[in-house]
Amino acid sequence: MSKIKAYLPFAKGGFLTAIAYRTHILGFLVGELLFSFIMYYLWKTVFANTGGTFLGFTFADMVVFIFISNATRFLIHSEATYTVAEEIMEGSISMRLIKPVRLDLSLMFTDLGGTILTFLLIFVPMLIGVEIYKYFEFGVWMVSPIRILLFLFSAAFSFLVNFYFDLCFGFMAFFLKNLWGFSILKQSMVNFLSGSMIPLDFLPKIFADPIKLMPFASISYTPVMIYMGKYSSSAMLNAMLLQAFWVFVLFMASTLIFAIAKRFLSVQGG
Amino acid sequence: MIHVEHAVKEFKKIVKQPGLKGSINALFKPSVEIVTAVNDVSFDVNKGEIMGFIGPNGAGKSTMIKMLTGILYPTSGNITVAGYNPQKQRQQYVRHIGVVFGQRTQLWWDLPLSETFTVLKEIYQVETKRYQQRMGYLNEVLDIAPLMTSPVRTLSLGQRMRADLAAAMLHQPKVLFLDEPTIGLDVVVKDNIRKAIAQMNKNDETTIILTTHDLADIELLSHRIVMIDQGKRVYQGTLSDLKERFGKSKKIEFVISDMEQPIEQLLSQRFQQRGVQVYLENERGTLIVDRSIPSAIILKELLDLIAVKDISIKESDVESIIKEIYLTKASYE
Repeated sequence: MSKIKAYLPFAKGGFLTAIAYRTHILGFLVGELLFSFIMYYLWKTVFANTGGTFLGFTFADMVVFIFISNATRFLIHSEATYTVAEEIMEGSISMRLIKPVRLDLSLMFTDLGGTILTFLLIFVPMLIGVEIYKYFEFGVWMVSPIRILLFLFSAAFSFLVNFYFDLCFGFMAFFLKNLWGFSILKQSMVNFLSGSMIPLDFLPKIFADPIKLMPFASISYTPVMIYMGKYSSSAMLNAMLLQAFWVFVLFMASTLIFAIAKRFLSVQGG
Repeated sequence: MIHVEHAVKEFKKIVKQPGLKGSINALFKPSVEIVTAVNDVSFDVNKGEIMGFIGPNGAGKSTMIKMLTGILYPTSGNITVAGYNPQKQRQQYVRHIGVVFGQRTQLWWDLPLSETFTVLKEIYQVETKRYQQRMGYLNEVLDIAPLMTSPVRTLSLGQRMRADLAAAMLHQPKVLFLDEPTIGLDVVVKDNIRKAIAQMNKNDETTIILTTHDLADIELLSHRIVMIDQGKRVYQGTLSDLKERFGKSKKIEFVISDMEQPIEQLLSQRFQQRGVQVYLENERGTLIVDRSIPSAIILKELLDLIAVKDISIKESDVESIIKEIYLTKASYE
């Protein structure tokens, strides 16, 4: 317990930083909402021409998908790649390495601090908004508290998968020194393959099935499908076990990469 | 306390040829050059000792400190500090050290200074009672209480350095590493910082390793010095030893007022058998005299011989000795 206590200041720091950049958050929020509404109108047109359902999704499903997958993206957002790359580039990683803390946990708690703020400020209002909209528009009230809990549980795994994936990627900065181009490539890959842009079920089965096994699906697709009630109990268990598997694999990978990468560190300047 | 054996650090550096063609070549076939920043350096430091690292820019001082603090991995060689391997046992090891990099800060930039200390209290898990005791002590030595409510970015460089030192000493480390702690500070602040460092060394028996360009830091603080140049150790020992061995002579400079006399002849005749070297350039003259000969005797003889307008005596100081060592690039061990 006292071990965890040593990391709380990092969470506090992440929280305070997120608050300090509240205009940044506001811009982000408005931008993302706008994006969600564009998606909404796009899919509305699609569904208007399909007669109600499309590949097993009703329009009500699609609305939930658009907003919940966007909200989930906020929730699991990690700054690890950016922070590690930045600190290596300007050499301030030294200041982190001289503290008696694990590199991964200190970064993770910084992310968590920001997550607390996005949870309260963005996720909860968005969730309530979607449920109210659904009730008035479609007359369905389908989400149960248990399903929300399961969703949050799965989203916690998503956070970890995304975090360790980001971290592995950030450690590349030890070799490459500048990650800007690669991090854009990474982000588009994650956005597409995690199924946060379009449900993976919309892809041809031959692509969708292998993608569902990749770590990206664990980042967004799994919790969103849980929220939407698309899983049977056993499928849900399998999906969560797969998430846990990827957390473990990526955690081990990040530990291994760091063990190798730290020998390559050359602090630039000073 | 600190044991360093044949430490070597090599960096790979990508060499780019100039121009567009060079850049394109480097993109596909980078040519890599190996730079040796630290080349076979060994030394030991005892508990409670202050050891100074000196050397010109790019000599490898900072790289050495970064290896000692566990940030960089030595390419080869052994480093042990306080019984730990700084690289392999980083997390346990850094509990016992404090680090101040003069050109960086570990203070929380946007928040009041007090926040930094509460954070450090949690990170190092300092008990509340112990924390208050330490803060009282650090305030006594470094006078940080008046700074506590100011955001760090509003502190002056001198105030920031005091705060950084206090932050590094909060958990009472066994070893304190200071990488250019007085860089950019004015004379009075420098002096205060030095006094504080000396006091903390005495009270806590903290072993201190310090790198600097300012020789006054070394003269006032360190018990021993290691001088490195181009990654190699060129001198190790005490400062008085250095002076003893390389500062054997003093310089007497004078300005002649009456050029009518046969000065050169007079001076050579008088001083040659004493082993004093005489140099003359127009009205300026210099005598190089062994330190064992009292200046008074030489001065009296000089004044009796010729008419002199002005006189100054210069002991060969550390600065000139070191300058000589840097320039000749020789090993003086």
